[in-house]
Amino acid sequence: MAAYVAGDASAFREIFRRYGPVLQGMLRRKVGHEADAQDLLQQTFLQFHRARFDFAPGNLVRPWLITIALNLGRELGRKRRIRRETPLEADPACAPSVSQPLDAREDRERVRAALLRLPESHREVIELHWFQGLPFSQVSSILGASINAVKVRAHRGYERLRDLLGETRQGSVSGRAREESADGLS
Amino acid sequence: MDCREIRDQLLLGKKPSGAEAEAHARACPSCLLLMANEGSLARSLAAPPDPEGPEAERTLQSLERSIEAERGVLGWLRSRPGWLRHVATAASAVPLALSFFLRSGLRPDHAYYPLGRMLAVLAAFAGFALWLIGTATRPLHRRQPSPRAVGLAVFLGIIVAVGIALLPPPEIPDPHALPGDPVPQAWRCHAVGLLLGAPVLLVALLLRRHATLNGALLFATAAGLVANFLLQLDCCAVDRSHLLSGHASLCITFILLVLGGAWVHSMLGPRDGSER
Repeated sequence: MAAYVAGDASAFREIFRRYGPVLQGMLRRKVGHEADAQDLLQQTFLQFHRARFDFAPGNLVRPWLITIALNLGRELGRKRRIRRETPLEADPACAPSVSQPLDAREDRERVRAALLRLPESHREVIELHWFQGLPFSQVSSILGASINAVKVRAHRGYERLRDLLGETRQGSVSGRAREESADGLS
Repeated sequence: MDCREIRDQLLLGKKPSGAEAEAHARACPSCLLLMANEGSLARSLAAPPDPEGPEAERTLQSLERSIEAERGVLGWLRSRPGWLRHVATAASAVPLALSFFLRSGLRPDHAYYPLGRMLAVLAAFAGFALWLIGTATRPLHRRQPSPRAVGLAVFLGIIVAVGIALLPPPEIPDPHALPGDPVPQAWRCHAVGLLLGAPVLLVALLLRRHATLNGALLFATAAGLVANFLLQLDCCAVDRSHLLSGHASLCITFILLVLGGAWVHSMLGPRDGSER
């Protein structure tokens, strides 16, 4: 980071390569659309660049980037609500076009869809606690909430996710069973 | 053992076990849920990460072009530390105000106006304006105020200006009262206030790193309060109708200017509604 603040362009590329994929995954889960996630990723790093002289030695890069990305994601969500666009939904058609096993892609879409059904405050805590692996102390400082509030949101969010993922798993298993029995009959 | 170690074990497909894991699970209901049923929730959440597509390189190239375009004076100003942008925004009112007061002098009754009251009024205007500018220039790597908080801050700014205008007038010798009908005189104050507060709004909009309507509304309210601060030093009217229509209403005028500008921008700008 010190090299980047001093003007080393290759240091910026290194920061992008290290944190870009993590942030992009987070933004995909947050906004549900690949194009929006790409756009937000770019804005996140542009804002990071503008704020580089605010960076004090001893600060951590990742919480900075995550906070910027979350702020931009919230703003996009608000704009969508004001413009009364389609509510946030996972958009499988816009998922990366790199070939992957179908099961892995289905699993990822299922988790993404379940996450998008959580209240934003719960979703953000789970994103930071589970997907980013941050301790509750850091989650609370990023979100500007007390540790206890963050823990309660995490617990409620995980409970709801367990129910949602259980429902969708049951749905897909019974759907597959129906397809198999239909195949057997024909 | 902490949450991260529990998560790492679950991601490896192992069930965290041992006294330390149990002690942590007892204190952390979230990890207890993740570990329950042989870690079934954690397994569901542990879907493989998205593959890195060719978009990453394209995004980096596009980003480098955007950063290249940041090299002008504006780019330099925007990248200054937050405190410096805060001070520069607040200080932007000083040059015009100084030249104005050097030309026209302070209010004629300043020697009679109660000093304590004058200082309290000036401190209220300045303090609230600085707080609004600080809130609006808060960098994006810190949590941003919610729209509700912004609405409340703008409302409080207007209340400060209106509340001060409605205070009982101080007792000042008669010859210093404003001659003529105080309401038409208010137009003159309103125009002067717009001129004196405008630099704050313009500089704030130039120095902001991220264009949002919420931020612009906070700057507009701050500009209105700075204008009230300077009019307090310029105008000797103590009549409430004059102070309300000529001074306090400046906050609302600046807010309407910002809303009008945003509307024009949305009409002329990109149709996706994004503000860049």
